[in-house]
Amino acid sequence: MDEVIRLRGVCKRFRLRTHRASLFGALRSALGGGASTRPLLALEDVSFSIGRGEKVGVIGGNGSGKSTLLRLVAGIFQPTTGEVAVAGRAAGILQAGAGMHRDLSAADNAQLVGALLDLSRAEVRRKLPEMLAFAGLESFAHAPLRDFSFGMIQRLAFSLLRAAAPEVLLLDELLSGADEAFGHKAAAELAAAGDQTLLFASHDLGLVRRLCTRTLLLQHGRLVAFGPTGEVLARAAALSA
Amino acid sequence: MSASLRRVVRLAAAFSIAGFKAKDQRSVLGFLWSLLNPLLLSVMLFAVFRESLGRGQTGADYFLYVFAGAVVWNFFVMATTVGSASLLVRAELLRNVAFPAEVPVYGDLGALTLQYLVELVALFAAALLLGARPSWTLALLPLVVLGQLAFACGIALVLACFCVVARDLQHVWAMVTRALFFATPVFYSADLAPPALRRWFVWNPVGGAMEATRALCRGGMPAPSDLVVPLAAGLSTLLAGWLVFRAAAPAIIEKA
Repeated sequence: MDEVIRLRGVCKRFRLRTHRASLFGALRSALGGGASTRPLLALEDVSFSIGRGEKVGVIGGNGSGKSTLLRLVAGIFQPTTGEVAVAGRAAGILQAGAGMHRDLSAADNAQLVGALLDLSRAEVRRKLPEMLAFAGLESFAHAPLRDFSFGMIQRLAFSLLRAAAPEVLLLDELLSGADEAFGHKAAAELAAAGDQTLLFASHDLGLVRRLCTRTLLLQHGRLVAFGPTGEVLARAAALSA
Repeated sequence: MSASLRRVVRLAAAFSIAGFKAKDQRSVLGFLWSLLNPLLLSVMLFAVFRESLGRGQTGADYFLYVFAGAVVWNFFVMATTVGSASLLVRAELLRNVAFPAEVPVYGDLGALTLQYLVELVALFAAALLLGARPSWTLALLPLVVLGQLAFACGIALVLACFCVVARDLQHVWAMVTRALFFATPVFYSADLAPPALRRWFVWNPVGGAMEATRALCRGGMPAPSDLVVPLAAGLSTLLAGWLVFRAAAPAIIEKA
């Protein structure tokens, strides 16, 4: 199987502010009176590889490094040390609604987010009816986004991703606000996309079990397990017991 | 054009169109606000300074002088102020979608340029109504606009990345532009300034663009320095701003 995502010894360190930004704090730091930030190791020595077409879950508690991992694979963040290699186009919307404008219609937002997902204006125009139909939003094409519920925004975002069909799809809790019927429809779509590699971070372990053949378990920024989903979920349950 | 440059252009166009469409979506007067802002400033300046600074010019000439100044100045201030906040207001997007971080700045400036073009149409329409006769020299207008856009964009790129680290810079910039307003011949003629200051005016790219726009409004030929200085300053500021931005971009996204 072709290797599509490879991480080797990846560490990601952030600087966290220790107190509110202030003129006094800035002056104190400038004069050597103590640092105003402290390091946070979000990911520590993470290595794994994923083959073409694999559906891989990413699980772990809050702050375990799931979103940071997805951002590194997406190319949004650069690793502090180590190497991230992705073959092909990786795209995802790691937060539903990111990039969308509340005052614009669904059709206008489709053009805006479509551009971020490398779809041309003509492609978006052509695919828009099908996108809206998949999301069940045909009658909302010209309604401003501020009139949409969170679940409707998630459905629109997912339909856009589906139309963009990137080789590597990154999802971070994208379906958590959508209704059950749409969740099933979307999961079926993801499972059917044979060549598309999926990295899916979620707290919905049932969905991870249904969708993913292998799963990564992160804890405090470290990769503690990577293997068949059933085994990793059992390990996660044992760790949290 | 390389694939990455094509992507930046395509994304900037998408951001510009979206920004232009969204700008006045929920206001009653909508698009008219684009015209009212410089028009009201012009009327105010005209009413206050007509007798003192507009002496020697007809009322129509002085109004056109002030209107052109207000339109050009308004673009510079709006472009640098809105551009300085481009990354701050899109922190969520920058942290969740992979795309070149400078695109929001280009997109915001693109939307403001579309608005500026409408204001320029209103300015030239006013010039016609007030008896001015624009000529072939109007063909030079794109060069003048290009210089202004490049100058504002270079400044906005630098402000946008440093405002992510220190928002204080927005307040500093507001004070700088207030001081620059009085150091730029928006409502007074450069000839009225003290001789010691006057020789520096030629190096003010915004003032140069203003004088060039006024000349084009009247159908005249702008002074060569009013064409060359804004264009050269604009392109070099854009290059410098872009280099600073590219060096700072990876750290900016994590701090946004």
